[in-house]
Amino acid sequence: MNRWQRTAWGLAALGIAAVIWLPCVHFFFHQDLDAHFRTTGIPPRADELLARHLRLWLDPQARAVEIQKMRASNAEWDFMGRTFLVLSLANMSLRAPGRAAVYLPVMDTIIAETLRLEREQGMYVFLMNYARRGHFVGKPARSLFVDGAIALMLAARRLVTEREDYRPLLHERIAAMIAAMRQSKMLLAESYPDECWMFDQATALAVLRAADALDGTDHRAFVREWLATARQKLLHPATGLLCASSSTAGIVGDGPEGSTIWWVAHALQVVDRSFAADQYARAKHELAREVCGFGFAREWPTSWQGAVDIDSGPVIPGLQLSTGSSGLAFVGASAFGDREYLQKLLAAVYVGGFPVRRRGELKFCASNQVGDAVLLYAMTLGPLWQEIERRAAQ
Amino acid sequence: MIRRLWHAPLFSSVGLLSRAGLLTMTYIGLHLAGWREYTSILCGTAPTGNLSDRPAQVCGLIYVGLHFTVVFGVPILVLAAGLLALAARGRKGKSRSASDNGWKRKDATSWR
Repeated sequence: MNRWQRTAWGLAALGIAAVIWLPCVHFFFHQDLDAHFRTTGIPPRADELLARHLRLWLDPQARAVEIQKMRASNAEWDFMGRTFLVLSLANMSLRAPGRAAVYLPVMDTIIAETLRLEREQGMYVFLMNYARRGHFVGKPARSLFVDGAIALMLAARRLVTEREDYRPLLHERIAAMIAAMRQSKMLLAESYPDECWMFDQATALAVLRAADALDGTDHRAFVREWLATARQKLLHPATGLLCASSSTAGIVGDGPEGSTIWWVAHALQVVDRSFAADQYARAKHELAREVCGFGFAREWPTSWQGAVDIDSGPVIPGLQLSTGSSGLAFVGASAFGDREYLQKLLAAVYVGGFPVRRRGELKFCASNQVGDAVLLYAMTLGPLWQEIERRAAQ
Repeated sequence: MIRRLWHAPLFSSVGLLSRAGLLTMTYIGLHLAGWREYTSILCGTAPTGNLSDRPAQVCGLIYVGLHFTVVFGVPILVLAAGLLALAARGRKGKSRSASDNGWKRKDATSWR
């Protein structure tokens, strides 16, 4: 056989081998879905993910290292890591009431530490640097990103077990959020100077529902007004998805984004169930993708061209796989019980997330503390929203 | 032996298997050296907390590249090596049976 024949045989063999192997790879990364996602009790993998987070919160040195790594890229991640961890702990406390005695002090520590940092260094401590370079349109200058998430942490803690000193703190935040939203004709409050992010608006609406459930207030009229305005002005015409950001005047900055919409659909579940389900279905259609049995999510639909940024994370060209959107897709899929998509996302995170299981702890090396906290939240969400709806119905 | 493996033509069973082995051994070595930790570059987080730490980022990229090569590529090399070996055996069998037939024909002719 001459050299050319050998090459031809070799290439043919490689081609046939690829056709055999590539569709089968995902079987080797198939995960037990019930070990990660279940409607009752705490999934074992969630326990393992939490073990690492708890160690970080109990070991100030390890925590400082982890937080410094994230803050070097984005101060928001530090803040969001705290938020998602508190929300996960609230859900886990409701899933396993016997463990609440262990989780509640951790939640309180995180909340106290977050409030302390905000008090001492201002809201900018949790915002990206460019927040300092512009001027907030609303007065006084406040960030809905910070107010909304802190209010949600306070509400989540109170939904597990009442803590009277958190009640006025929650209501101060809510008053500030509504005042900020009312300053805009579009009912949009700023997260950054003249930037209103849908992620934070949806969080604020969920907080209002939580406060209504906790304290018998009634923000339903405001929420209805907000939804009507958003449906009229903030839906992307080609996809029907809510746009990710706009100015206080309602001028769209960023169109639909995966790193926003998966969370938004979940947050809207306690605000308007059918609108939330519609947003999830549209997001799934526009953004969810699968290659060889591995699931992932795009950051933008094909009808919108955005720029890679800190929210999208690195985007793999060709596939348009966005790490930010794919991580948050777990939240959407879990919230809407989309087990088929969860199974495919799990296979992908085990092949490309670089998991390490050691001494009863699980972490994904390709992720960071906030990424793992989002995954933990996706594994445990449910009871908190159910509790809001249960109390609201009473 | 190692030299023979290294110099085996790429498109041969031995050549493909030796490449697969080399990639796997390198991957295992980097894994044991703890390079998996550097893959946090995938989410935009500096592995060492220092955004200008280029060597750590390069380590992360090498590990990620090698990981996907081993997961997706190495089994293809192994399967292809198996297919080439089967094809070679088939060709050998064919040429043997051809020469056997030739002997029989010759034998028959001489007998006739």
